[in-house]
Order: sequence, then structure tokens, then C-alpha cells
Amino acid sequence: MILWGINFGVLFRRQILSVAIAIGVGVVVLLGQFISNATLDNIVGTLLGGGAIVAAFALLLGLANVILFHTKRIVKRDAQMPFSILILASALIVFLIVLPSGGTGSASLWVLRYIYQPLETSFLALLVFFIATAVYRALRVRTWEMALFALSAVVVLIGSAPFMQIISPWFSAAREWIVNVPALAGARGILLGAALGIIATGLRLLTGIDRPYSE
Amino acid sequence: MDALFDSICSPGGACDVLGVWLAALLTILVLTYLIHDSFLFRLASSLLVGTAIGFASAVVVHRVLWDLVVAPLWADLPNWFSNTWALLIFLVFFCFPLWLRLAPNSRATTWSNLGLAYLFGIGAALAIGGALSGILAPQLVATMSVSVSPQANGWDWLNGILIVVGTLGAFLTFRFIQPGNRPWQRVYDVITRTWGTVGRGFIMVAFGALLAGLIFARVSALVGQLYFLIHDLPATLFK
Amino acid sequence: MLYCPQCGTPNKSNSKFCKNCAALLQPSTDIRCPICGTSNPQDAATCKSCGTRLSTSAAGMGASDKLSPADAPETITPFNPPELSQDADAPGEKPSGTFGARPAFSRSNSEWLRRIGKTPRAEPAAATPTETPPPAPAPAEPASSIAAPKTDTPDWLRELQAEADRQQAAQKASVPEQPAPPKPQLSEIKLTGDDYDYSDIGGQVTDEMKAQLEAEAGKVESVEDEVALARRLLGLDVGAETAAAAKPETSAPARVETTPPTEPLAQIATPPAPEIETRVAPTPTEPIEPIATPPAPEPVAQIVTPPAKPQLSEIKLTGDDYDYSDIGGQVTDEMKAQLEAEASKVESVEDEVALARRLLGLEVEQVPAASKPKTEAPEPVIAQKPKALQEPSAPVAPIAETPVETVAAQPVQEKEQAGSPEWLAALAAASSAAVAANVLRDAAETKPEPEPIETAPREAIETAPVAAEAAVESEPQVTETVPVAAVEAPAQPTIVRERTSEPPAPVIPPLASGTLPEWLRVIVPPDEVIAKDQVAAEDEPPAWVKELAPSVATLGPAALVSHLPDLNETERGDLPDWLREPVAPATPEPEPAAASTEPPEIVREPQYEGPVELPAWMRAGAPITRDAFEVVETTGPLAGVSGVLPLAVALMEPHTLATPTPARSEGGRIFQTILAEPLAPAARAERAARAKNIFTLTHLLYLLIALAALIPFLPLGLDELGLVGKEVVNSPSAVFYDQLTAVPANSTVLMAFEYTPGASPELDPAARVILENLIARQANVIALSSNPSGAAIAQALLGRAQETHPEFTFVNLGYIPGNAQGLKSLAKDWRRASDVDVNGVPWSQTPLSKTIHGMDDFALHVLLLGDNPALDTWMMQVQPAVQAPMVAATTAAIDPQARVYVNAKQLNASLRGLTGAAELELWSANPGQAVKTVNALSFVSLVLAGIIIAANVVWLMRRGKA
Repeated sequence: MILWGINFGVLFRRQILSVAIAIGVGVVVLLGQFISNATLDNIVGTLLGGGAIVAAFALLLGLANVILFHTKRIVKRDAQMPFSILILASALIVFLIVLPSGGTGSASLWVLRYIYQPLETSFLALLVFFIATAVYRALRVRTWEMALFALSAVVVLIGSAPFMQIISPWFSAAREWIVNVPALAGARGILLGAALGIIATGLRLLTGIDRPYSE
Repeated sequence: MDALFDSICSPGGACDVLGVWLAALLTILVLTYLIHDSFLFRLASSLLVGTAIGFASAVVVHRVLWDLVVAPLWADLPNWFSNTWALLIFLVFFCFPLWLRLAPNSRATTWSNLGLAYLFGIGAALAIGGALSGILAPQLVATMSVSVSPQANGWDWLNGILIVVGTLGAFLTFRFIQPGNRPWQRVYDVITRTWGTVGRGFIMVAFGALLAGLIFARVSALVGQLYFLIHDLPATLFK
Repeated sequence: MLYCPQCGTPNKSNSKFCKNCAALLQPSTDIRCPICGTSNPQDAATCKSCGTRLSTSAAGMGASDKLSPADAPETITPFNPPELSQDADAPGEKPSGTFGARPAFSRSNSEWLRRIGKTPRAEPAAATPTETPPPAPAPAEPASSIAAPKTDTPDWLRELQAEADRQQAAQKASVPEQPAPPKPQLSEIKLTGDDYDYSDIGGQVTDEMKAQLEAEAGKVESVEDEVALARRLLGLDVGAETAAAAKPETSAPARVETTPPTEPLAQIATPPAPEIETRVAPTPTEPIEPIATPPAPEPVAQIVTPPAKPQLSEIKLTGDDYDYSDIGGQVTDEMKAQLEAEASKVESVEDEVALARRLLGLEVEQVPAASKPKTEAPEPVIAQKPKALQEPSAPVAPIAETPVETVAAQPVQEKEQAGSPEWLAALAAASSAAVAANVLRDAAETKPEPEPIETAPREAIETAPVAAEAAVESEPQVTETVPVAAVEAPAQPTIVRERTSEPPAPVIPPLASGTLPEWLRVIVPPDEVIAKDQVAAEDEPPAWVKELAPSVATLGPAALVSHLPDLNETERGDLPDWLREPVAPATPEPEPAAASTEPPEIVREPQYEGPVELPAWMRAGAPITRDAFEVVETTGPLAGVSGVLPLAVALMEPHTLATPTPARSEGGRIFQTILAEPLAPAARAERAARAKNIFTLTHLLYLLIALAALIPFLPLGLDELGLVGKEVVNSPSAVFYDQLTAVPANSTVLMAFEYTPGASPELDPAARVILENLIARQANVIALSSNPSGAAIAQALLGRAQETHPEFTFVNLGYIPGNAQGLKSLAKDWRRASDVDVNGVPWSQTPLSKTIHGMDDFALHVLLLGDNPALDTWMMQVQPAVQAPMVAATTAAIDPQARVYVNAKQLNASLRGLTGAAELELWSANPGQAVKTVNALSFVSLVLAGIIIAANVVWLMRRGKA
């Protein structure tokens, strides 16, 4: 497609347009975070607003992909077809219930309170039992690192139980010390490292080295 | 829908009682997994997936597609989208092509790269800015400003030293540099390696604390559901 | 792909040496016919010998098989005469090298002989047998050494030897100026049982023969010399010495091994007669007669008595070692595969010989079993074929039609045969009779093929020049060649002659049921076991054969190919040669055409619909020469055709694991290993054992946790045990509470509900108590969420609060799309006037829009965070741009991370999950769900901590004991 003397087909095929958009938008938004300028702020605001809309479309794309996947399973009459039917049926019903109010209506709240919440909470509650078996089988103090790990977990667990306050306030104090000093130090070091990694990855993307958006 | 629901169900009425029993039933269906991975558990999991999908999609459609896209266009329709042409162009080039990803073998999926590039560009910029201003700067300042003076209250100075040592040590744990041949380089490597080993200990302590917190969170969920079964469910029987 | 001329192993195109036997690979530009093995020019479309259509894919084989016997018809087949070793076994004992040496099975390799002719002999050790030559010229050394008979050597033998010496001397003298062709170094000569392969001229190499060959290596200067020598050793051509004097071109050996011969040639040349006689004693002596008077077209002596049978241990049924040249025949790789497959069924030498003869098509009235093509044809074809179905050695009429041997060899042959010692004749007769007996016995169960010799001309043509060249060898090998010839009988002529000249072989009684394998008995009723006569009388395969594979009774290659599914080039490349391209019949064949219209379901099950018109070369009457191992069809449209895959056997016989050979692919070996392994024990036993244990440690743990969670709910007066009070100043919950209480009245607080319904048990109590506190301070709340379900949670809580406190004012902005982008936009520009809340009311129309224009206009930001990404997003995108105080109520899972931000002053305070909510409830004097559940929380946490401690204690104790 040649428009205004520009062969957009070639630009397309070679991903030049995509790279240009990513870099251009990214640089503008990055500058807007450090430069205070009304025009720039307006542009950044518009870009951010548009990004929110694109993000919403991307979220719907993900949901649509899930629906498509289960639809294919139903068409193929897979062994899991009954569950796929249930998934799609429940999704459709909940969608129809929640859509009119956007999730804040009485019907939506009823679904949220008596269906959505119990299910998700129960699934999380189920993890307690599996964590118990996992720590019993795997948490062995074979090395000094594992010893520190287990010791820290035990002290924090015991210290987190308010009941232990009755026995001795030292349990709670120990827990607080561990969380506020060594755990904090370790978490901060990890956070700093993660921040540097985020910066490096972002720069790679903004300079076009990484192109995760291209095929 | 809400009006229909309100007309049928009154607060604290039969719908709430039915809801409580339904919630209890769903809770028990999920907890049957402790006995055996049965059809009941799969039923509950499928229901959860479907509910989550439906809920999220409905909220997004309502709050984004309708409120931010359709409603403004509809309102501007008499003016032939004169004020919203930018939105239209934006939708055509960046939003709608994303759906071409559903057909992965289509050659037209290249169009969807524009929207993804847009998202990635903004995301990268925000991530860089946020990492710099939201994590790196304040955390470094906090580390540098930790009080290590013995004049501080109690053992705070020792805690400060530990925090500094631990933070740098955790940072040095991820150092993967081969030492040079010169003596000072080797000494420097020994120091940094030792410090990194100490930092690994701090990291393990942090992981232990995180594990304990995770366990605590899940226990809270378990206790909350048990409380619901014990407290709220019988309450409906005596209403 | 290059095929090793020695062992037939396929090698890469750029290989120089065979990966199996290390033979030198020389690419050949000729195309070898997959049916008859004739070498054809590269541009040939059809085989000049048999008319088979030559495919380009087969060119690879042919191109690589430059040294194949098809290319070099002058290849020789060594013979393993019995009792030829000097350290001969005691009389009556089985000679060690009779059939003990593993016969080389591949196409012959004349290269070493060519090299022999070009290089001087240098190995004294290898030349051990040659070091005891009679005082004759060097070229005649081996001959003389071989020819030097012992005291008991008959005169005729001595005469022959002397004559050979004289001839060689004369030859040497006559061409003194001719540069002696570089004799290959002994190291180049492959003197192992694997490397001597003269199967194409029929023969089996023994160690003694190897020694002889080594000794005469210096004399061999051409391929003809080699062939003559081998034939002489094998006894194929009694008059081979005369042909050997013609000095055929030699081919350099591919490889030479320095295995010294075990005994001198002289000893090999003079086997003790009594031993041979003993060996052949059980055999009738009549077969010797035909040997003495061979007819014109028959180059070799007749086998009148079966030779002494080698021990079973001497039979080496491996892909490299097949050498059945002694019974005449040229073995191809396909035959090798068949032999391998049926190796397990071979229980005696007779079986082996019969099988080999069957494969070679020596018996005219043969059977459906055909020789395999050179590619990796399915071995089970042979293995599956029971003995009962082996080709019978029925008498064949058209013996005289086989031109086979050259006439030149006949006089010598006749002379030798006339003057051959009794032991020699007996030996020859014994071997031939044994073979014939086996074949005849096998023929008892199958139908005789009226015209199997039609394929013989091909092999006969091949063997004829071979025999001619073998006859070039000097007479010292005469004595050996006689028995060798007697034993070997290249192709059918010998056997055929035997059959016609004497009464038919003993009638093979019908197979008793007990002799059949079980699976065959099931298939074949005992009464259907056919005797030879019955088989001979019928012209159709047994009924049960038809039942099993009715479509396989007879069919032609064209029909087979036509039934193949459409294959691309790669898939066709995996097919054997005979399946790759259909044989173009000379005459139209209705059956294959008809069969092609109904493609079978399985590739190997084409339909037989009647006899087909055979091409000219397949028709009866055409002079053919067939390999001894050629399998000839006896029934159906392919009657008389050789080289047809015995599909009936392939379909009916079960696959049996054969002894792995180096030629097989590694994958085949692995597959065989897997098949040979016993079945893994069923997992059902484990499942059953597991099911018996209803109450395991896992269930105990589950029970403990459940009890720890339920007991505190019992009315035991265990409320709010141990909750930390405000007395602890530095309690994080206290700091949080202080932040709440510091909110000015009538101010607006931003509450972000960033959690999913799964975190509701932890954060809903916190949210409620926070709202309670804010309402108590008459603060307004603006709620939002970057989570689709968070807005609904916020609406539920705020609505409930408003129900109890109608004066409470709140605005639920709902779902903020875009996550980081939305929050960043919110932090920069707050809301646009047109943005609506959950009720659809534009922001500008909300009551709080007048006081809130940005994030800094809030008195407090209360973040209810359920996971770490939400915490990081707020800290990265919103907090740097906001100056207002910010507190976070988090789940216990992310409390340590929240402490990092609290320590960095990015958060003013953090509230830890349900415990913090319980404390807030206590301080707010409004105990709720959090206070009631905190005991259960404590107990379960303690149980889990105990589990971790107990597990490690037990582990340490066990480790200490260990």
C-alpha cells in the first residue's frame, strides 16, 4: 500500500511501523515523566488515555481467546467438553448479569458475594493443606541457606500468631526484628536489582533491540 | 437486570439465604479435593473460571468499551464524529487489529503489532520512569540514610548496619563477574564474593519471611471460609 | 548413501570407510540392479540383464556399490572344504574350519585382489602358508603350496599342480616386461571371516581358505585371478586353474587384515580322505556320478552327496557372514535380512543350507519366498516363514536350460571330476546332497515351481564369469576345487542336474504337528500339513495360506507397488528397491491393474487376482542364471520369478527377534532390546497397595490443620488471645491506626480496593474497620480500583457502610482501565470532567469534584493491596507524583515488601492482614470477624510451624542414625 509516496507495505512487512510507534510513544511518555511542560503533558495524557483503551481491548482479546479455546473443545467433542460447556455457560450468564451495571449492581454483587468470592477463597484456602505437606516433605535444612530459610519462616510464623504473645512478647519482637531488619535488607536488595532490570529491559525495548510485539 | 433482581430479591431475603447455601455448597465442592480429585471439584473450578471470565469481561465492556468508546462516539454521532475522529483512527489502527490475533495464521495479524507496539512503548516508558523514581531513588536514599551511628536509639545503629550490609550483600549476590589476574582484583573479588554470600543469607531470611506471610494469608482464607460455614450458614437456618 | 561392498551397511555419502567393517568405500557411478545385481550404466533406465526399471534412488546404492559383485562379476566365492586345516581335527571330529568361518555375505570385494596384484607381498606372518612353497616361482607359490599334495595326494592332483606351476612360470617368463601390478599389501587384504565374501560365486570361506588366499595373494593380479582362486578353493571349478592363467584384472582390496592363515595351503590342499569320507558317509554316493560328467552348460561338478554338515556353532547367521557359495548362489542384503530373521528357526546346518538354497532359488520348484532387495527389507519375512513353508527342493526339469558356466572350465572340470578322488567326490556329493535333501524336504510343504530357472540366467551369467575367472587359478586348487565345486554347485544347474540324474530326493514326510510352532499349529490344522507330493500336486498355496494372506499368494512387483500409498520421495526412499519402482512387465498384467483399482488397506497386502503376464525374462524357457540363494516363486503369476519378497511369510509368520548384527541400525537394536525386556510390572499393584492405605501421613496433616482451624471456633472462651495492644508503640498496626485517626474531619480519603475476592477474608475486615474509622471522622471516601472485581468489592462495602451511616458520602469511580497507565494518568491529571463513576454520573457532577482536583487533595491514600504487582504499581506510578500521606493495608503475604516501602518512607504505615484488622477492631471498639477468627489463625500458624520443626527434627534424627 503506497500512500503519499510511502510504501506502507514494506514498512509493515519489515515491522518498521511497529518499532517506530513503540519507540516514539515510549520516548514521549518517558520525557513527560521528567519534563514538566503543558503541551507535553497534554500529549502524554492523551497517549495514556489511549493506552488504557488499547489495554482494555487487549484484556478482551485474552478473554475471547479463552472462549475460543473452550469452543473448539466443544466442537471437537473433547473429553473435557462438559467442563468447557460449563465454563462458557457460566461466563455468559455472569456476563449478562454484570454487564448492565458494570459490576456494581445488586445482581452483580450477589454473584460476587455468593459465587465468585466463595469459590476463589476456597481455592486459596485449599492451598494451606498443600503447603503443609510441601513443607513437611521439602523443607529440609540441608544447607546453611535452607537453615536460615526455615528458621526465618518458623520464627515469623510463630511470631505472627497473636496467641504467642501470651506466652512471651519476645516471639512477636523476634518476628518484628526479622521482618524489619534482615528480611527488609534482603527484600530491598532484590527490589533494587529488579528495578535495574526493569530499567534495562525498558531501555532495550525503547531502543528497538527487543521487539516483543513483532511476530 | 438489577431492577429485575431487586424486584425479586430483597435484602436479607430468600435470595440471600439461597446465596449462603450456594456459597456453602461451592466451598464444600472445592474442599472435596482434599479427598479426591473428583468431578465435583472440576465442576467448581469450571464455575470459577467461567465466573471470573464473565465478570471481568462484563466490567471491561461496560467501563471501557461503552463508557470510553461507544458513548462518546454515540454522543458525537450527530456531528459525524467531528470531535472524535482521532478516537476513530485510534480504534481502527490500534484497537481493532488486536482481535486479528485470534486468527494466528492470518497474514493480517501484522496489523495487530501496531496496538501491541503502542502498549509496549507506553509500558516500557512507564516502567523506566517508575523504577527510577519509585524504587531506585527512594530505596537508595533510604539505604544511605540508615542510621549507623551508635548514638541512635537502642540498637538501631546495629540494625542500620545490618540493613546496609544486607542490602548491599543481597545486591552483590547477583554479581557474575570473573575476577582479574591482578592481586587487587583478586582481593576485590574475594571481598565481593564473601559479601555476596552474606547477602544470600539475608535473601533467604527474606524468603522465609515471605513464605511465612504467604502461609498466613492462606490460613486467613481458610479461617475466613470456615467462619462463614460455621457462623453465617447456621444463621440462615434460624432466620 | 554409500553401501559397503563388504557388509552392505549404508554409510553417508561422504564416508570413506564403512562404519561397520571399516571397508574402503568407493563411490561408484554405476547403478546396480536391485533384482539381479547387475551393474548398469548410470544413465540406464532399465537393467540390461533383467529389465528392471532402474530408479534414481537406486543409483545411490549402485553408485556407492562400485565394488559390488554386480559390478565385478569376476568376484570369487571361496570355499570351505572340510578337513583342510593342517591342525586338522581328529578323524571323525568336525573340522574346525569347514563351515566355521563366518562367510562373507556382502557382495564381493575384488579391490583387495587388485591391490594384491599391484603390491608385493610383505607380511611374513600372513604369508605363513606361502612360506612353505614348493620350489616354484614366486607367483606360483600359493598355487604350489596349495597344490603340493601330501603323499597321499592322487597323481592327477600332483599333475595339475605341476602344470599350474609351469603355466605360471611360463606366464611370468612371457611377460617379464610388464610391470607387475602393484600387489596390495597384506594389510590391505581383508583376511577375516567378515571380509572374504565370495558368496556371489557361491562359497563359504574358512580360515584355511583365508590362509590360502593370503598365500596366493601375491599371485593374484586381477579380478579374474581372484575369482579363479576363490572358485578353486571353493571347488567350484575344477578346471579353474586354466582360467586363472588368463590373468584377469584385479581389483584392489578394500581392506586388508593381517590375520595369518591357520594352516598352510598345502595342508588345505590335501585333506585327509578318510575324514571326508566319514563326513560324507551318511550321504549317498550316487551324486558323485554327475560331477564326473558335467553337461556343457554346467560348469561345476554335480553334487551327488550332501557334504559333511558343519556344526551348528559354525553357522554364523549374521548379515556379514552369509556365504552360501558352496551351495551356489549370490547373497544379497535382502537375503541376509531374511536369513537373519529366520536365524532363530535354523536348528541345524541342513536347515540353514535349505534356507539359503531357498532364498537363492536353487530349487526350481520353489516357493513364494523370494530374495530380499538390498535395502532394509523386513527381516521377519523370512523369520515368519515357517519351515513348513520353505521351498521344496523338487526336481526341476529345465536343468539343461541353464547355461550357467563357461565351457572353458568344463574340460578341466571333467578331467578333474573324472580323476577326482573318492573323498573329493564324496565330499562334493555330501554337500550337494545335504543341500538337496534340505531343499527337497522344504519343498514338501510348498508347491513346486515349474519354472524357477527363469531367473537363473541372471545369476548364472554372473557366476559363469566368476567361475571362469576362478578357473583361471592354477591347478593346485584343483583338488580343492573339485570338492568345492561339488559342494558348491553354483546355481541350479548342479542341483538341477542332480535331481534329473537321480531319483528324486527322499520324500519328505508331512510335517508332524509337533514340528510346527505353536502359532502355526493354531493357524494350520495338522491335516493340512502338506507332504511333498501333495504340494507338488497342487498348483496353489495351501488353503490356510490363502486364508491368511489370500492376496499374497502371488503378485508381482508392479502390483505391489501399485498398491502402495502415494508416497513422497522421502518415503519412497525408505522403501526397498524392489518396491520403489514397479517392474514393468513385458506383457500387460491384468491382475496388478485390477489390484491397483482397489488399493489395499495396508501397503503389504496387495490383492492377488490371478496370474499375470510375466515379462520375457521371467518366462519359462529363457536362459537364466540364478543365485543359489535366489528365492523363486513357485505359485501364482510370478511362478519362476525370483527375487520376490515372500509376503505370505511376512504376513503370517510372527516376528522373531533375531540376533542383532552390526548392520542393523541402532534404533533396531534398541527396539529389539525393548521387546526383549520383560514387561514392566503393572502399576495396578502399586495403585492397589496405595489404595489400601486410607489414612496416610498426608491425611494426618490435613486432620491436624482442620482441627487447629475448627477448635478455636468452639465456645471455649478463647477470644482475642494475645492480640497486641496499643501499648506497643512501634506496632505497625498502631502506626496505621494513628494515621487513620489523623485524618481531618470532612476531608476526603482515597481508598483503592486493589484486591480480588480471594483476599476478601483478609482485607474485607480491614476495609470495614477503616471505613468505620473514617466515617467516625466524617471523612468522605472516593473509591477506585484498577481491578475489575475491586470496584464491585468497593461498591459492596461502601454501600453497606452507607446503609448503616446514611450521612456517609462516597464516590465510587469504579474500574480504572489500563492498570499502570490508568493510575499514571490518574496521578498526573486526575479525572476528566466527562469521566463517569459506577453510576454513570460524570465526575464534574459528583459532590466531591469541587474539592478534589488531584491526588494531592486527598487527606490520606488508603491502599488495600492483595498482591505485590498492585503494590509495586502504586509505588512506581502514583507515589512519586503524590505528596499526600499514603498507607497500605496488605495481606500477610506482601507485608514484608510493604515494610520496605514503609522503611523508605514511601508508605507511612502498613497494616498486616487479618491480625492487623483484628487489632484495629479492638482499638476501634468494634470487634468483628477479624477478632473472632484470629485465634484460629494463631492455632493453624502454630501447627504449621510445628510441622516444619518436626519434619526437620525427624530428618536430622534419621540422618544421624544413617
